[in-house]
Amino acid sequence: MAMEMRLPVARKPLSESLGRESKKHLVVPGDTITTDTGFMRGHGTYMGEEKLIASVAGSVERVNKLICVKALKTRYNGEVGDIVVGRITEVQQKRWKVETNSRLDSVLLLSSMNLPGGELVRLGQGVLVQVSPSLVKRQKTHFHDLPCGASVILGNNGFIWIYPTPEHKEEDAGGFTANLEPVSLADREVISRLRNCIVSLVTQRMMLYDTSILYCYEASLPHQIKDILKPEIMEEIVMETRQRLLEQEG
Amino acid sequence: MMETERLVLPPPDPLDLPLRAVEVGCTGRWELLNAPGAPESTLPHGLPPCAPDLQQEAKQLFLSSPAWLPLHGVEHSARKWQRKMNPWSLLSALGAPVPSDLQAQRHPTTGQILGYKEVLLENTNLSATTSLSLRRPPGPISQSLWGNPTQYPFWPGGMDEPTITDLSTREEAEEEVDFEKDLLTVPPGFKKGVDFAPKDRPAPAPGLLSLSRLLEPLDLGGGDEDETEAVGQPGSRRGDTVSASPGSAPLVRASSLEDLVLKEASTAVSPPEPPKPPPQEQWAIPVDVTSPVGDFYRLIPQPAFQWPFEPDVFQKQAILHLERHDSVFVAAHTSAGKTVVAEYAIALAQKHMTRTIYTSPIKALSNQKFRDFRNTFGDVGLLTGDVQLHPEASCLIMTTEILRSMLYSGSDVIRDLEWVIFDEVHYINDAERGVVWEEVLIMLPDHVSIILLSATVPNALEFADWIGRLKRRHIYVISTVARPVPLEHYLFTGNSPKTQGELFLLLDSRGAFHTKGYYAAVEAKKERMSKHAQTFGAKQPTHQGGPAQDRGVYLCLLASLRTRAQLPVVVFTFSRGRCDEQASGLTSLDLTTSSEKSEIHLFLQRCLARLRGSDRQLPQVLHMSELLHRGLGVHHSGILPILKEIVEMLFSRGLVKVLFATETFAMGVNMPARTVVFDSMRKHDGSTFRDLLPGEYVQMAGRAGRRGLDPTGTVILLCKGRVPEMADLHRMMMAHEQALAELTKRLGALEEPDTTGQLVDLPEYYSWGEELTETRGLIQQRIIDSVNGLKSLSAGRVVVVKNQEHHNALGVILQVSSNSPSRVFTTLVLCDKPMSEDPQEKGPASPDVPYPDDLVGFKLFLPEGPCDHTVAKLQPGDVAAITTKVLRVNGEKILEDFSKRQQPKFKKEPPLAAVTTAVQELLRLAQAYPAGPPTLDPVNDLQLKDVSVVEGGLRARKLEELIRGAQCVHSPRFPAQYLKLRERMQIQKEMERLSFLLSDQSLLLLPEYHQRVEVLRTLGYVDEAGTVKLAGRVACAMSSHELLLTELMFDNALSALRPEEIAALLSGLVCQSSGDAGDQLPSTLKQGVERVRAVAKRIGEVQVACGLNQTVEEFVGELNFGLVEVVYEWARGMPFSELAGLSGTPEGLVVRCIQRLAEMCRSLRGAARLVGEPVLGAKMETAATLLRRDIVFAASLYTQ
Repeated sequence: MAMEMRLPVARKPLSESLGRESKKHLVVPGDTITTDTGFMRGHGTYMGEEKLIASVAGSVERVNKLICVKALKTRYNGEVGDIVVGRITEVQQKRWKVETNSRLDSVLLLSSMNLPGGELVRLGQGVLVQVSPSLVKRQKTHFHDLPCGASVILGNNGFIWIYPTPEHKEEDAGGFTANLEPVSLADREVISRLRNCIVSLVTQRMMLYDTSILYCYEASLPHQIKDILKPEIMEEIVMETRQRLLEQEG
Repeated sequence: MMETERLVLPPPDPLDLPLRAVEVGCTGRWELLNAPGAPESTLPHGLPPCAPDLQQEAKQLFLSSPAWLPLHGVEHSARKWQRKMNPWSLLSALGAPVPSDLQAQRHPTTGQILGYKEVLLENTNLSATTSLSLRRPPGPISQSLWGNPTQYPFWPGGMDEPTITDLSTREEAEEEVDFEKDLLTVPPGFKKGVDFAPKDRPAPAPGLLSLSRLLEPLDLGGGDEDETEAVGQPGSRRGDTVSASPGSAPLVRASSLEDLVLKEASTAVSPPEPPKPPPQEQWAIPVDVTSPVGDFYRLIPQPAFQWPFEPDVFQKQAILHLERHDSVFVAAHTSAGKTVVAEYAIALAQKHMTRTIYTSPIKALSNQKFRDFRNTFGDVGLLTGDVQLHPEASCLIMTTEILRSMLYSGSDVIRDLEWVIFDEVHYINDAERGVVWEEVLIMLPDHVSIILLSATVPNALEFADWIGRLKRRHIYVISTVARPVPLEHYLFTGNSPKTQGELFLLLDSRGAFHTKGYYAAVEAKKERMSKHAQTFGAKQPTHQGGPAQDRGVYLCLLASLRTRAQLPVVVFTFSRGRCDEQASGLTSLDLTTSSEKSEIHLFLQRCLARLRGSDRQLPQVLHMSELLHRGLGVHHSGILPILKEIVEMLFSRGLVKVLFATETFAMGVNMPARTVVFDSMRKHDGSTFRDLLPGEYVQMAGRAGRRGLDPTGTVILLCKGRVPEMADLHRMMMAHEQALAELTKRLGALEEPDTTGQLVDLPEYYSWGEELTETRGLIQQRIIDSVNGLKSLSAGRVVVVKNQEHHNALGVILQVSSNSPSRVFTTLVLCDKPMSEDPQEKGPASPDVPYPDDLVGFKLFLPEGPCDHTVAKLQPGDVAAITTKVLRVNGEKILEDFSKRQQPKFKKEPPLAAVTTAVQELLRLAQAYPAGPPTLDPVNDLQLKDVSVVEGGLRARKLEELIRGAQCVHSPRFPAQYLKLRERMQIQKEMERLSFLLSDQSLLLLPEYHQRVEVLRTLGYVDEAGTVKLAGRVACAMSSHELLLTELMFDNALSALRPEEIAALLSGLVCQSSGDAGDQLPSTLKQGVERVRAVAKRIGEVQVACGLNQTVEEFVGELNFGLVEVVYEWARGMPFSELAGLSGTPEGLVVRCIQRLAEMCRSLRGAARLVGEPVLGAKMETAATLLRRDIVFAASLYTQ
């Protein structure tokens, strides 16, 4: 059994050169955001002594005159239209309890399953990664079949499900069938690599969406799957991902 | 190791610092240590590398010197703890309810207990959250009315609820379940299920096998039934079902009370229960209403309700079916007496001790019905969004929406329900709300019978059939077109006491149109006109008549009606202002007796007592009181709601003799009058003045004639100006809506044209011809649009004319009108000499069947026989070709001569020489080029190098060749077949057009959709990827003016203002009456108005930039700040009476504006919550409360 030992290395601060053009305005609770009274206070702020003060730690977001602070690390707050990935934690007669990284357990009424318009998918085989909900970028679709051979569901609640891309989309099975076919080694490798990529993106505080995940996956290809999680490699591939994303944005 | 010289230190003094010098390594480096007892020297290479003591380090780092701690590196400061999973909890399940009970068996006479027997319990564990059955126990009293959204509804009728026989057969089937083979693997309703077939790994389905095996030892001798009971439990919906053993004692006990009552009721009535609906798909059964019901009183010896009058046949029929507990559909005119059916149902329900629900589409109608039924039955309740009165009553009146929510929430009221009456059910056509009716119809449980009341609809049977199929029950359709009170339509031309008798019958009660009456009216009018002309000179009385003239007309009309006892009368006027004007004009009129006056006075006192003191002194209230005392009334949207209700109530009591109303009065609310007068036949529908539609006319005219009081209803059309055209009148009064012919049927009926043999290229020939015509038209259009083309079309140019009258006739242009949008070419055209004796053969026969010559060249028209000419004003489209020839003509002279000869006097005069020369020249040209004169080539002569023109020219030439080569024209059957084909093609084209309209209607709006999305994107409501952002979500919360309100909110234009100021500003968005904000506004409001305008302008600009078809001015112009001051003062608590002085807006409109404003404040409050801005939310809440007070939100009089 091969073993690798490494000595502690001080973490280098992230190089500023690759930062975004517009630096995020970060605040901690108690920081004064503005003293201008012409602004409206939104979530995560409060008024104190004619000043707008942050009540959570996070980045300041502005819509015209409305100022909100979006917490960097938070439990998930549900919104209408969100896609969430949840884990059933309790089965009762008429409802299931679902853990969705929210402040309270969510309740799934069995009577509301299979309602028209609702999309309830029972997930079969795959890997769950839990990240901070603030790192999942809001998009039109959160179901992605990546070209690398696996699919991801980026739940708005920070639960990410990686699973082999189904060959044929199952229709109307209502999630009753569990595909217990063994997943091929190649698929499993892709899934593990994706998982490690997502973890490294999260460690480096990158937003998660289909492009960033895919670029990171491609950047990680020269390395072995198990090596991805080594800090210096993590840093390297994320740096490369960043570079490509910046290029793409132009 | 090297021995170095040692420093000799004195023994440590207590005051000495405990320092010790240590030589580190061998390089001569020294360190001072404060640790006593440390070694004096170290290894040659210094201290060995070692991991620092973590605890020490942490202490050092975080506790003793925390100053370095970053404020901003907060990633790891917030932690969460993973919960402990307990997967075993997933496997636990609650126990099943006890399925059986012990029951004592007693001696039938002594009552002595003989023994105990185990009985199976049914309907155990039913509750509102587990079962759809009516057998579930009722919920708590607090929820009996509204139910609870988490409860299940009751089982909808018409769907397959398992019956006893069903169950017993299923039971048998279940007994034979072979657990090895017959188990379902696909859940019902799914296409795929669990596949238990052993896969690669030989994994047997252990659960199934073991289950059946386990059951064997459990056989305790309870019989097979118990076993199936236990096995069948998980899958089947046994909870809802009734006992498996038919006829067992518990069944009778459990059957609900109302069923028994109903059974008794239906058996009391002689006709036996109708047999089970036959399997055929005919659910609607039309009922014959022409023959009288002779044995009505024998069949119903004790009717539940009796009227002072004898019911009509259709009412009797309906009552008969009601007694049998059938569902009925009654379609009749508004005044025909559908209410009788509803009343009988209510009475029947009261007799049966059950309940009735009456639903109406309009709140106002609900209020009115509440009052009516309350007067009749007493035990009546009302449930609307605003009020809730006597919810325990046996008859509940509500809007359809409320019934829907009660059904979905499983309200216990549904249990007692016997009838649901849907009034005005034709509202199901409504695009927005119709779905509510559908849902309610679907969700009604089986024990509820349906009564549908509707206006006359052409497809009553079809509609009833749909409902019948839905509910699997017969719907008896009772449809009558007869009016109980027939209408007579008159024209009135009088305008002074002398002429007050000028009332001419136009359409009698049997529906015959009297032309004589029409001409008499025209004569009467003409006579007056000429007299008028004599008195005042030749001046035409074009003006429609000012207020003074109106007054004269009304005074004499009302006097005439009064003498003939034809009051009360409703006068429909299509403008609020004229309504008021006319009513106020009749100052001298007093139509009430003194006793009536006191009655009116008392009623007014009682109603107005509910208003605030100052509100009772409102000018409108005072004015209306004064009018009402004299028996006059006004009813339109500008009137305060409470006054409108007073007027309605007094009118229905017959105390208002003359009511001036706008169209709104005809809607819904049933208020018949003796006579209906139309002030005018034309109304302004928002954009233009137009004639009344037949439907509108019928709706309003239908208000005439009170049932049981009047033999006929009188409808009078005022002819203040001239008498309307007879055709218009006829169309308006007699029109029936025509059903659209089905094109497919027509197509199917057409003969397939013969396309064999020589005719093989007939279809192609047709399409070539069409295309050629189209291409030529296109080119011609281009030519005329072009500068050169226009230049060529000057006076003297010879053209080929092709239109309705002339077919390829040569003409010469005489004059060109200069205004560009609709250019007119006055042209001298060759034509046949009119043959007066034989008008049929006049002009060339229209070219029904085009031969190649017709299509390709311009086979010029050559007059047969003597040639004549005419002058035609041609549109650009009439010019088929522009020839190269130019004639020298004197256009003005010819025109002058021609117009002179049009007059009868000069008809016989010969035309001028100039005319004859021109005609001769044209004729010569026509003879010289029978196949068409040389035309100007668009490309070469007119310098039109446009691609489309050049290509069109080439294509046209190609087509010409093709057409020349066509075979089919040589066939003798060509003309007939061609006609057939053309008819077919035309219908096909029409069909394509229609189906395009049907299928791609949304596509027509697609560009606009994209433009609107672009607007949202520009404003930042959605991002590039189309994801809705925060601003977009806020906009979703608004009910109207989404963009403007959201922008205002995010601009922080509102938060800084006080609630009343916000309300005042927002009034600009909901106010409908135009007007400018006053100058006396406080400066904050003025600035606010400017700010709102600026924001609106910005949005408008964005919209224009994105290509939307609305200019900035239009968008900003939608804002009306006329009521800013009024709303501001109202929100500050000013009494309503003082508001009137602030603006000229009618009070009713002010009230409506404030009502809508309150709604808007609510939606803004919701939006403020969404962005987490509590201050604005609180302000909006305050604003809404400030607005909702006094007269504006006074409860309806009908509910008092």
